[in-house]
Amino acid sequence: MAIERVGNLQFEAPLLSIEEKIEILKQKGFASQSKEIKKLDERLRDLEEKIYENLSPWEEVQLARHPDRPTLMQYINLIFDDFSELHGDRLYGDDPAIVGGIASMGEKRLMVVGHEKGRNTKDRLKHNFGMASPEGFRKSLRLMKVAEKFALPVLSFVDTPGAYPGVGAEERGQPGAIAMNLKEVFSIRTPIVVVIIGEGGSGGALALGIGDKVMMMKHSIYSVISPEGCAAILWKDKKKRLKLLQLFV
Amino acid sequence: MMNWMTRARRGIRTWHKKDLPGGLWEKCPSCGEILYVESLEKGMSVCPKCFNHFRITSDKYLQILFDEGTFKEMDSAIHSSDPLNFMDRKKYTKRIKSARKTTGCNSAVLTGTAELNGRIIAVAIMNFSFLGGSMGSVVGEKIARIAGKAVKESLPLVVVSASGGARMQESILSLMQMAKVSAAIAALSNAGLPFISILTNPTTGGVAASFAFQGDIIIAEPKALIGFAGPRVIKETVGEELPEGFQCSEFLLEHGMIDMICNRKELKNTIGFFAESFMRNKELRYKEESLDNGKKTLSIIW
Ligand SMILES: [Zn+2]
Repeated sequence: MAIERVGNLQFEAPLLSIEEKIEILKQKGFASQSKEIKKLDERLRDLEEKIYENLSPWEEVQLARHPDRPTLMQYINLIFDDFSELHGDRLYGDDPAIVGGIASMGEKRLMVVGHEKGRNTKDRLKHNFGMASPEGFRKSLRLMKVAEKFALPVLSFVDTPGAYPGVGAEERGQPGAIAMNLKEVFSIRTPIVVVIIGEGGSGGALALGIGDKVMMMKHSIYSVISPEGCAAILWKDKKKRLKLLQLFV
Repeated sequence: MMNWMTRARRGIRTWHKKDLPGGLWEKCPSCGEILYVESLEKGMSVCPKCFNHFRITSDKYLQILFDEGTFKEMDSAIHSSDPLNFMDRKKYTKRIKSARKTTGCNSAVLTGTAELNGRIIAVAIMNFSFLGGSMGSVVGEKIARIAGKAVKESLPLVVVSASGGARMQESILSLMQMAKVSAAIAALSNAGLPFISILTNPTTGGVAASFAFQGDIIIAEPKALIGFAGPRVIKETVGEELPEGFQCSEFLLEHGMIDMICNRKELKNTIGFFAESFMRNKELRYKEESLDNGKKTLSIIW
């Protein structure tokens, strides 16, 4: 009977308890316009404002990675009338960590690319948690070039902890793929609008982050590396690493 | 008969109607379901049970993909000669003659213009039943010409491929068609016009290694055999066993080689969506430019 919320972050606990109370009242037959529920709703909103406006840096990181945050496909479904996904880098593979395709918005057509983190455990594994391989970056660049050729504006959504740090990705030229994106995207003549919708981690984010307008959604983050990655580089000792992270909390 | 035409392998097999009584019924080579020919054809020759896409003629693709009665054929009379006086088990001239007779076509490709949801498109559709859709001088010439027409009239180009590859009987002349068609596609691309390439079962050899994979968008029908060297050639030359599903559309999608797999029933609207998306802003740009009357500013061009 509890409210279905995947991401139970500690600082959200007070909100959750009010939400549960509202749910209990509803199940007891209270109308959502009833005085009791309205009062709780108000309290919930006040508390939300108080909590989310006073987050510590670490809590901001957690919120940027919130499992309930909308991911790319939800933005696409909500914004556009139609979306036709295009696959592959025409070289090696199709990276599900990056999704791209042509979208229509009324009479307008545009190219959409972005990181997809996935919605549930199975989906996240399929999309590799939004961590792209060289194929993903090459697909994104290929699609931007198609957009340029046919005068389509590009909308790029960034949401990734970083480029995939794996053996295969290195073998297929991860740094080169990111570098190529950075350089080539500057030559794309159609307008590019970038939105960081959750996590903008490192070069893997910047590879899709070059544009004429760059925006960030509220409570999203953008940084040279994830806090964990940074700690791993600066503190080789795992115990000391915790110290750095604790500085945030 | 060429070996690969009669080879009994996944999806590559040609089914003879005479195997079944009356020609009213056809057996799905993929799942074995016995299908009523009339309803099969109404369903765009897609097996309702396993969605196997039966091979269909270029005329059928015209019907499926374009608005009725809008096709204007080009270069219909060009047909192959036999400059090399080639003979394998049969004389090449005899092969051409019998292919023309059985298919009622003069070559392995049908070209022209047609409307798709009201938009004019330059079209080439290959016909596998004409010498395995192989590309000799005529096929190459016709595709190069239709690409040229697309450039001249600012039309998007759609090519439906179905081919075993280059035509052996024309040797080096066939090989050079790959280069000639590529030059025409390059000109189309430089003119900023879209080329939507549709791969059907099979698209292999010199056709795959030239225009079929030069599309801005590459769409394959499900479970089509697509590759360079066919499975038999690979097995015989390097002796490698091939994994299940090797060289089928799904394999290519996974390996990043094609943009999407599209069912025949959705093919028309899918092509229409891309043609529209790719042409719309360009046309807007041209309109705005001519309004400016001589003032050629780049400011409105993205
Ligand atoms: Zn079947």
